[in-house]
Amino acid sequence: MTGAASSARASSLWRLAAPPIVWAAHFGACYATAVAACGRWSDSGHAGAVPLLVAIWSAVALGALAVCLATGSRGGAVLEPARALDDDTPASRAAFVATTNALLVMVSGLAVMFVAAAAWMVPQCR
Amino acid sequence: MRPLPPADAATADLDPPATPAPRAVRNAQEARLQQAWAVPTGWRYWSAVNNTVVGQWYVAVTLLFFLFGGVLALLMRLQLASPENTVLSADRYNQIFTVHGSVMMFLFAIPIFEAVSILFLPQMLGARELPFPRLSAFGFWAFAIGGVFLCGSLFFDAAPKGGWFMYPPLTSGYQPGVGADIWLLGFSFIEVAAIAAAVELIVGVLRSRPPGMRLNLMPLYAWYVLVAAFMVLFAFPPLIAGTMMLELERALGWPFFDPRGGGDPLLWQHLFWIFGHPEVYIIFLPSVALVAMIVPTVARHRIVGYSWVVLAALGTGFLSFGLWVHHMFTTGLPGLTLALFSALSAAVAVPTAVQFFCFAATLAAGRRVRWSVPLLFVMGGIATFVIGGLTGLMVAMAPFNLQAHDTFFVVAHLHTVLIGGAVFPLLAGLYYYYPLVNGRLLSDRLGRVAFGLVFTGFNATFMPMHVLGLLGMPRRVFTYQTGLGWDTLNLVATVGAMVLAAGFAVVAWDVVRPSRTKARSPRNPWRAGTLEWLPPLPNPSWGMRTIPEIDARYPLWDQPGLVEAYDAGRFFLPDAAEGRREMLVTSTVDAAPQQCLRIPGPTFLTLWAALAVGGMFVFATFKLYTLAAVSTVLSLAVILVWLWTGTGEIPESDDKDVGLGVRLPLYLRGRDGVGWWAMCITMLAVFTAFIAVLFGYFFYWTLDARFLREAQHGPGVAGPAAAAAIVAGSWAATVVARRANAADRARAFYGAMAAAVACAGLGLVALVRTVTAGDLDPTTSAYAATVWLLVVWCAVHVGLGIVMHLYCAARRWAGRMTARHDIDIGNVTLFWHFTVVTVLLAMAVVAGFPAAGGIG
Repeated sequence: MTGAASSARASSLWRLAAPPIVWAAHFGACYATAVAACGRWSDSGHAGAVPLLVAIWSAVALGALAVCLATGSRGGAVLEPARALDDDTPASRAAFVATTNALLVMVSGLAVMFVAAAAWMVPQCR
Repeated sequence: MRPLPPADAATADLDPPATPAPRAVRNAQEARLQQAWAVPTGWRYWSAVNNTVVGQWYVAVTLLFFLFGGVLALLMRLQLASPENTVLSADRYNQIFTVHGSVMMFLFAIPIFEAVSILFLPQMLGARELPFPRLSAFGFWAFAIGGVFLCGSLFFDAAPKGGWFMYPPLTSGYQPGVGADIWLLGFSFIEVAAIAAAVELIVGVLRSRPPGMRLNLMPLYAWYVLVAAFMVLFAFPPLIAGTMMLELERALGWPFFDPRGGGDPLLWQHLFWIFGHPEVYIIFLPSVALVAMIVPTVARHRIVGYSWVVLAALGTGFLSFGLWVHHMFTTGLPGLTLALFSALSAAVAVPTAVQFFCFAATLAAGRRVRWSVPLLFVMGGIATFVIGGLTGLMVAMAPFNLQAHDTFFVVAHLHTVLIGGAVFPLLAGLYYYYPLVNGRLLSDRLGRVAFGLVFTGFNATFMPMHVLGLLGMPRRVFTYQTGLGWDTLNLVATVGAMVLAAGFAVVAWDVVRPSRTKARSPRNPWRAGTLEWLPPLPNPSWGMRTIPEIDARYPLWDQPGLVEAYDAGRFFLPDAAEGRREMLVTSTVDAAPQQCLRIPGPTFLTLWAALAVGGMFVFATFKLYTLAAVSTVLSLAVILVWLWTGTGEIPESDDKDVGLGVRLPLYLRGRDGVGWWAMCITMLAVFTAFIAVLFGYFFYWTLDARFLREAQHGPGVAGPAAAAAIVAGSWAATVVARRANAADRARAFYGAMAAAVACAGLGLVALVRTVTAGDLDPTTSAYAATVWLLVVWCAVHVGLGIVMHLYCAARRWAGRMTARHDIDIGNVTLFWHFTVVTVLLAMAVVAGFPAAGGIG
């Protein structure tokens, strides 16, 4: 097996993990922002900055998810007909990875927007 | 002889030979396979490591714990059947509900997934075994010993009584007996077993698939297990960190959760639920995996939306790590935090629901859906789980949660989720997969009776509990007064529990009744399409007669001639010419063959190791620290013997013919080796536990400005910096030693090893000095305790690293490690990569964080 081929195949698993990792980073950033604003610096009146910061994290996360979508679809057409994902061929495997990556981008994007919406609707610490 | 095919081509062009080998040749092959894979008999039976045997032990013991937990539930329901009842005292009731919850969660719901996977996963993957059969056996023994220890405490009136989530300060300051210690140390031991199984399953799914089974052709069960095993890796370590901290508080007075020392009991809740909520999905996903295997079979149709189901598994697995605070909505956290977790708790419903739509679509697309017993339990489970999911959305909403918290509504919700999401699918799996165990079928008639009783009993038990909760009945009360409107509903719930128990009794009878009264199962009785049904029944101990080449997701449906070619042994590894147990290792993504892996056979070492490690925890529980120390030394000795005799074996030749004209190496170094994967995955779990301790450090810092003021008594900057530098030197010397070994420069290797050991030894002293040199007393404050814990954590790593250095030097000295056979030093170097990152991070926080804040 060549190193490049091995690397390309290994990246398949990372393509599936990348969108949820983006969500996890976004969620971690939002949670840390909330903890900092309502905990350590709650007396400093920083809570008002939370919606803006969450909006920034969300924009960054959605951008990263767009990158995941663009890079994840390389080597396989997204949302191929189901039977095209069932074959014992590299093309079929690539199409499966691309499709699943796209689906994970959708779910991760949805979760990012849910969290962002919550921070906008309930911005207060109390 | 053909060389290994290029990976992109995988094995699509490797068809079995048109003519099978002569019958006499095949008989001789089968005799050799039988001998190599034979299960020991007599008293040596207990030294078996075959997945088919260990898996059966694991499942059987898990089900026994389930029955034990069920009896405890019945006792609770008897007590609550009428107001002011006196069947149980308050103290006994507390012990029983604690042990019931703990047993059901830690000794049934999680291990049953590992047990079922160890039993069936290899065959689903067309593999003879999982890559580390002795690890599976060790995990089983650890689980069994730990479980008996915990359950046994109930008979000595010494059981824990703080609830299955053991909140301090109830379990720290108010429960002085050994009950809480039994829980904390007993489950720490069992968590080791869970992580061992997770390592085995991850490597199994990624590296044991048959040639041709690319990612897009993996059985859905393997996807679910892969996700759940990764979740174990990241969910259990925070609990391990938490239990360690709580035990240190109980045993040594380190005030992690005591506000008088700057600690906070809420940290326990965070650490517990960072484990506890993903745990729900660790339980649920593998059970749904069984559904994903059963539904296509009964529908006679390929799963609809394979990618969507994979999405559901992955998406649910990830999102479940962002929900833990919804168990803490009433603790006074900021509204903003509640909103974040409430939103995500709703979002997780999306991927969770997707898989059910896929199952429904598959059944709708099926031509002749067969209403068999497995499908009855599947449908009952889906209906029940959906109800539990909807009540889950209710409690995910903070305003409702504030009202329902700690009432019977929550009890009803969690049982609806867990019984619907796990127990019903497991019963479906029991009826579906039982023929694989001994070639017999369970009774269709008894199965239908059992389903009727279980479904009716379940709803009669838990539906009234929803109402009881809404009426205000709190959970965990041993009795209640009459006249509150709870009497009738409680009586109905108790009667329902009896009906439910009767259903389980019918299932139990169906399983344990004599084999001769059960019908023989034909081969592939359900006419399924997946590989586990390929062998004849009952299946010989070799697992798979030959490792097939796979071209489809449902090979038994879509690969004509597969069964005949399999029976004739016309695929890979049809023989055991050297009398050794062998399996194929394939690549992670495309399942291209990479290695013929030789795996070790029966041994009692796994049992001795489990007993020795168990001794550490059990003796520590009773504060018999000398005996615990002896057990620690024994554990280390047994594990070293195990490693020395059972791993890193240098084969008699570089490669061998594995069939179909393919030659594969017998020894695989570096990142392609399964040992490297196991070490990497294990260290990920260990590192996660370390991150959980760091989380505690910053948690205290966000809560209380006094936390860093304590750093005035801290270790400063110079000491930790020196310790980090010395440990980094040991790591660098380890890397040099690995390279010297690979270049076959013995003198340089031993020199670098000596330097690595010397640096590690000095580093160990320097680490200990960081906390002992000043007046940093871990019993005085949460800050001091946390710094001590971080330093001890690092020191244990470095100490183990020294043992590993010496082990590698001895291996080379004994000729068991050479320049080309260097798995040992490769894995030790990987350990040291994690160790140096751990130490650098810990010292940076201990020294750098207070300094950045102007202290130190």
